[in-house]
Amino acid sequence: MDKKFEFDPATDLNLTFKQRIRSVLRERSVFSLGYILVWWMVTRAIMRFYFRFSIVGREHLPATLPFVLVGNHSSHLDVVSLLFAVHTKQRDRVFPLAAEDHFFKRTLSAAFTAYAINALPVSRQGGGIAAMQALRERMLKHKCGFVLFPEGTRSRTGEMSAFKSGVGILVAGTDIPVIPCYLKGAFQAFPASAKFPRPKKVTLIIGEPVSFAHLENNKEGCATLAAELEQRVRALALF
Amino acid sequence: MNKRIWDIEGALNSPIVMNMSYTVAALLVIAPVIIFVLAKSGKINAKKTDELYKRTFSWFFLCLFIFAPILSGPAPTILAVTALSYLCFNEFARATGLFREKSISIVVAIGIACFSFAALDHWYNFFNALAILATGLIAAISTLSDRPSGYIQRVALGCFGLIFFGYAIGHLGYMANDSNYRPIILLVFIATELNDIFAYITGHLFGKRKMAPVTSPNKTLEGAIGALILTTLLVTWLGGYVFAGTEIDRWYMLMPLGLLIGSLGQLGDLMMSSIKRDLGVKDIGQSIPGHGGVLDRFDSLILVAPAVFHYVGYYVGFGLDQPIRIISGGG
Repeated sequence: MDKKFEFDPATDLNLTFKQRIRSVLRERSVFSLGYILVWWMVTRAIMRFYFRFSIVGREHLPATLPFVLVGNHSSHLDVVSLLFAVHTKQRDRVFPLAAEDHFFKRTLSAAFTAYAINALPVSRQGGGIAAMQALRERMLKHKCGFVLFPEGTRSRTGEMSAFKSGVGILVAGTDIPVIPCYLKGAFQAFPASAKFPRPKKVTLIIGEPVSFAHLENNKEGCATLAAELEQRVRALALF
Repeated sequence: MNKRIWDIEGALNSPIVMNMSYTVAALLVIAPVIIFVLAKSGKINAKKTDELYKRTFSWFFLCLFIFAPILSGPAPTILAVTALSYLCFNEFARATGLFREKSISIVVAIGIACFSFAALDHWYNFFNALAILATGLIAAISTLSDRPSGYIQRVALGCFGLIFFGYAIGHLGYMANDSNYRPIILLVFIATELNDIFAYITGHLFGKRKMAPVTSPNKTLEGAIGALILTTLLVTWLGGYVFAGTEIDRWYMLMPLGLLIGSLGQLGDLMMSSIKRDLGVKDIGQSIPGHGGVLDRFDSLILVAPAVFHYVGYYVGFGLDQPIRIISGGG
């Protein structure tokens, strides 16, 4: 009887609290299910009644992980809107990628971003290639999903800007489906210049999944991928 | 107010409880002084000094979390033990990967809550029935996902977690149903934790032969025997005050209790070392600076709590003069 069980400990097992909230290896424990349930009930209610939030094309979301949701970025509502569409069962394994320099500097903001949004930090100042590759490994191994906004920052005018190619490192050369999403009305509801969100109607349009197995995971491949994704998201805006 | 919820007078009126509290407080003050002297005289190096300071500092908070609920009353004691069960299970589940099995984890969590209720309610039959009912539920619910691959492993891990962290540790909480619960629970805590410290000290002073080099290379035979002797002496002496006037207030009845705590405490420690070795992790968590996880600190209690409960229960009994099924009624 020397055959062993195969154990797969939590990836963030030996991190202290402060390391854990800033770690890309973070995994939610079972007991977070309780507060997450309450937090999402409140968030869903606000989205539904204050922003009259609706989703078009939810059937395009794959039933199984891994997948990557990609959208236009114009407000702080975006992350919550995209996560809203994800099935409750999958939500604790879907991680938005958030700017390290903005959200993960102070402990309080990092704790909120980690515990409420379940976001993982990514660097915006280059040098993030290795970090993105690590995220890709994690996605393949643990079957998790990511939500990201390839524009890199919120639009200040409401117009979409060009997609950065970093998203390519995550998915180029794999079968992982990428789902383009377009969020309508979020800029009018809560632009970067506003202090408080306005009760405007917000609609999420989810497009058909697309995978990029045919592209090489290199500089050109990632650039092509980013450009194609951008086209697909722009096309959804005409809906 | 209801004496089950808040009964600080009960603690203040008990000389043995107060003496135990003062002694532990005094130890917490003396420990840094001893470490300071040892460091100054060059007996321990800077790294070890740092670690010992960190541990002592953590002990200060641990003692606060242990003593405050026990002195406050039975219900706070039971709830604190429940919190301990949850923390231990959470660390175990994260270390083994069981936490990704949501349905099993939730059944264990509900099971722990039910153990807590049975203790609060003072309903011994339910407390015992739960062990097998919840075990059965884990095995049953795990079939529903139609995933036979890995079935034995996840059910075994779930049962292990439920029995050791819910049921075994739950015995500590159940003891709070006795009118004399404070000195008994404090005795268990103090003896088990000092047992670890005795093993650490005697091992450092006289340790030569390794006890289980593959499982835990730092443990020595001399440390184990030294701790066993010291703990047995401590329990025999302290037990005389704790169990004064009862059937086991005799040295030949208290000595087996001391041997039980001393040996099972160290076996509990070895049990957790084996688990960590099997998993390939050094510490099971990082929640207590200098100690590792909650489970690294309280692993010795897992085997001790039920053994003490039944040893004392057999000769003296727990809460025989207290009302039963306080919440659910129908006693």
